[in-house]
Amino acid sequence: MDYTSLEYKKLDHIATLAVDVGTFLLACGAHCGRISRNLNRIVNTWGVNIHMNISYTGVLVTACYDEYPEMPVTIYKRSPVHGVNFTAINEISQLSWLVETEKISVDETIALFMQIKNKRAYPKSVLLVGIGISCACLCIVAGGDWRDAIVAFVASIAGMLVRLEIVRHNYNLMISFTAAAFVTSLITALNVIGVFQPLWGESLAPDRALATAVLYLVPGVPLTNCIIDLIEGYIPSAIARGVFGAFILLCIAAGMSMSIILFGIEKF
Amino acid sequence: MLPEGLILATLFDILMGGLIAMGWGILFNTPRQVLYVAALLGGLGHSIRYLLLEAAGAPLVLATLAGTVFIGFIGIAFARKVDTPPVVFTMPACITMIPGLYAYHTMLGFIKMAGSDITVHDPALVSQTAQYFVITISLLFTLSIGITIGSLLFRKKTAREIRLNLLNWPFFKNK
Repeated sequence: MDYTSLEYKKLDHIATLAVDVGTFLLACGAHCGRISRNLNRIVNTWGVNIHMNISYTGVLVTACYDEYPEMPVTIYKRSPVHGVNFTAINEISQLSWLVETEKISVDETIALFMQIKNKRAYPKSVLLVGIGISCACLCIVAGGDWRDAIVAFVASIAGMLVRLEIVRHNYNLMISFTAAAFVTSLITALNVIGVFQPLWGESLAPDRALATAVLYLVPGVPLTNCIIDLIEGYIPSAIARGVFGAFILLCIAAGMSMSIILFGIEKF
Repeated sequence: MLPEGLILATLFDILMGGLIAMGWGILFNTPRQVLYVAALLGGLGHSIRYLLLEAAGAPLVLATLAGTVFIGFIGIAFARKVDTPPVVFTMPACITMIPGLYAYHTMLGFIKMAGSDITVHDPALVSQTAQYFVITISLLFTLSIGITIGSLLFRKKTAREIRLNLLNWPFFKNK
């Protein structure tokens, strides 16, 4: 094999596919162990060996044939904007098992991967209602009554609408979290100081609504993936995910404290 | 606004946990076909924590750990049944136990600490806030442990290869 042969070109295709799948999984919220397992399962089928370095912002892959370890291909790719998508993780996992059991070719795998890439599971309206119900139930579990739950429902939906709108206009991600937390806690803080009391009387625990309505913003996937990566030994990625998650929490706290200080800290 | 009586309250808790897990599943784009698994696991895990806290009087972190580990184990069994990586439904299910209230009190404590004369008016504030902070971090850790329980306790790399004896139960047999 030399550098102009068809086989070397195929190795190049395989490495490109691996780095594409890797960055896509990273953006969808897969932990490093999963990315590594899925990529290995796919490329080992074609007699290719890969080594990879996964950071939070991109994936570096070196691929070589088992019989020619002296002629590797190395590709780095930055990951796209992160957005949790477990449907895609599920389908890539299915695809990797399909490649291993059915031994399908590289071109077919690329075609299947392209199909997975352009899918979205839920429309925006379902997403908003899901978030609202989730936050309202969290409020009830934390000890609020139905009035607090309604406030949490409305506040979380309003905050998410603001966040989606800010993200759509390509503003900074952290600004979107701060603004969403500000809007959500503004509405729930109105409940705490008793603006809605003429409507339905005094509610049981308005501070619970304030605490739980912002929970839809919590970066649960980066934070849990941070611990999973630490356990499995991917230290640099774990540090990056942990810092990212912690900073989002800080932004949420900043947004909440803005609206709390607006109404006066002694009321809370 | 929990209903009276332990059994009724537990059933209500299962319902609430299921709805929370479903909302998180939608936020995380969990596939429609397995959304019911997330709801079921979330409800059961949350009610285990509730029962341990209310009926057995267990410490908060221990009760949460029991709930998440339960979710992790049942998730592995379900992963074989519905042919999906377990993380897809254990993640939304575990996040039902997210320590929102404690995180909120931590944040409120930090804001109050910046105020003037805090050592005179409320000397217990700093230690109180530190306690809330430690509880928040511990609960976040327990959530992750529940999700990774498969790779912690089994030597197999993927959930497909793990065979729990649970699979011999009639409920899981139909695949």
